[in-house]
Amino acid sequence: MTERPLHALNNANIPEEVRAVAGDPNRLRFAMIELAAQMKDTITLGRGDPDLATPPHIVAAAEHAMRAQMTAPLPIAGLPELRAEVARKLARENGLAVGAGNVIITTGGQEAVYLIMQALIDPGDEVLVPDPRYTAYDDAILGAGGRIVLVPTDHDDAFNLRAEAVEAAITPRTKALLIVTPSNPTAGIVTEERLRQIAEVAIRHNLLVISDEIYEKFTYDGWQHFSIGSLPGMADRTITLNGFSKAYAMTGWRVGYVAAPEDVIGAMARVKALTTGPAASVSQWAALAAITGPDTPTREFHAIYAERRHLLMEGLTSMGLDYSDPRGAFFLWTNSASTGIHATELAYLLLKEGRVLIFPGTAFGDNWAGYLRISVLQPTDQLREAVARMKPIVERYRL
Amino acid sequence: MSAGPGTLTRPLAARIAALPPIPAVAEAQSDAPPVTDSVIAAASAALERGETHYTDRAGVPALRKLASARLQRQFGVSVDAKDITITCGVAEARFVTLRILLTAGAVVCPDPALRSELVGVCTLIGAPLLAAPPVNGAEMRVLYLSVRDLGDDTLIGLAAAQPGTYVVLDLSAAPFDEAPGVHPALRPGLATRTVTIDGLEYQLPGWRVGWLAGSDMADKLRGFKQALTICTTSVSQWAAVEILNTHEARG
Repeated sequence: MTERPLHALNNANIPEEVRAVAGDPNRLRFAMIELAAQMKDTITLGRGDPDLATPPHIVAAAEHAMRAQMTAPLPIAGLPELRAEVARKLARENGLAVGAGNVIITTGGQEAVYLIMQALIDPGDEVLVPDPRYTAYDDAILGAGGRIVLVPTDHDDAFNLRAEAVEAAITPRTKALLIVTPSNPTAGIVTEERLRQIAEVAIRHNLLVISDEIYEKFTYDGWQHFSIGSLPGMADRTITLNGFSKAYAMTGWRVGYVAAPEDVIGAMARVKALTTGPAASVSQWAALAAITGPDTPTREFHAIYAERRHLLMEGLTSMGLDYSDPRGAFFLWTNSASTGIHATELAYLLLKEGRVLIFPGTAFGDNWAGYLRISVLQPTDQLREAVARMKPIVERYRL
Repeated sequence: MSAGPGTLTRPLAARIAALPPIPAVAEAQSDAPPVTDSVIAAASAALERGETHYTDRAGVPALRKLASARLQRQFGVSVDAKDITITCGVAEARFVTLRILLTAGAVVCPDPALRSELVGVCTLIGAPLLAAPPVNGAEMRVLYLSVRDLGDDTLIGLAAAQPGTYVVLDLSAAPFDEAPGVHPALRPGLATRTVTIDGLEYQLPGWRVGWLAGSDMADKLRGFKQALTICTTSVSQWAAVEILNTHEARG
């Protein structure tokens, strides 16, 4: 991949509301969303919110629960039937040796991250996090008094995680390693081979592993998802995070889950009783229908995302933009460095002049001013239109 | 956890022991009131029109406007809808509020019933929880009130006189249709230092809808809520819209 120097961010080209938060990844993403919301005819390729509808059988289950008055508050750790079905799914599909007592239902995957860190991290503990990262993890780690230590990944390796890079980042204060596979934002996958090597490192250094697998249903081109918690020696030290938002287009229902040793689940439940209480009952009944129902809708989603992904890949190539091999999730981690323009500035120009919302790589870490994260979460006609709008802007501003 | 040479088990065991036990009130309840047909219809309608995605992180605008209108009607307090955040139940409203406000100092909560509900949160965030203002120079950072405390002018006056003190008025246990006293936000100097917490714990207990309103910390409160849960359950918010709309229509 050709490297060329990026120009520094030209503050004259970005408005104050973006400039003010350019150094804060979480606030930068929301500033871009808010700017886009003020514009008309915007094509939103920013947020990871599937545009597809929650499948009808899941909605029907929620409506049944409402009509049958099955909406009383549930136990903090979740609807027992749902916990049991999640455990069965994890055993069957992911090879995890878990029962219902190893599962807690959370108010979305975001809360799961917060609860995990509150339960496990002491002030001063270090958490290894692959770079680039979904910076929402930062709030949870820092909120528990932890420190983030970045583990480098790179484009030529499709942002796979290397065991030697993990080991090189370990210090006497390292408590845990966070793995996100398939990855947000890179769309990379940590392969089984690498996970086996990483597991050896985790065991050797007595680390906890937090494995965020929320995009597991979306892998492409023969790449397979693998759960590190299934490996020998890993059950007692792995916390697996997953949910319903992405696989079943249920982002607004706010229901996720964590599988972990029972004492970790117990600790998380005690924190959850104080943060939000139980997840909404309607959402949990809907989630039960999702996990026990047909997988046809998820396979249909997969086919749709695969087609869109291919379309965007062609579009980016036509603009002279490279991207990391998108093996999973629903993003294209696009190398925009060939334009010479800082990603924050380029993302703003694409929004202002093309009304296409894309997140700059700087919203996923300081080292990514030469990248954009583009989601595939719009219909194909909108994606074609987005490419058509982006192309002349990229050409016009290319340095 | 039994992995490794034991270094994992000791810190984790100590941390678990330090956490408060799950309050009995948070366990499964079978005596929740029935949800009305109009709420079910409104929630179903929301699902049918596709309200299954993330909402605005601060909450559905219609619900925030209704919460604002409710505060105006109950107490004559004006809080712009943009300074209201919809939360996953009153629990999240309390947690977010105390987590953000308590950068230092103590929580003073005179109402013993309410105080017992705050023990867990204050333990988790490491903030002292007191029944009365400290006398030895320690800071009263938050005065946390129930409606039963609204007649205590001395206490509210003390908070008003201390520039760094915030007042939280927790309406979650108050009768829904009553205006039980003078809101602290109407006191000179307290409008920007008062957060109102409310919710539908009685009408929609399992749906998890609450809100927090007001203060010069509204942006930070919203930011932390977003970091914790992104947004509140969409269908629950639309059910709440129906309830508040019905109450507004009654006048």
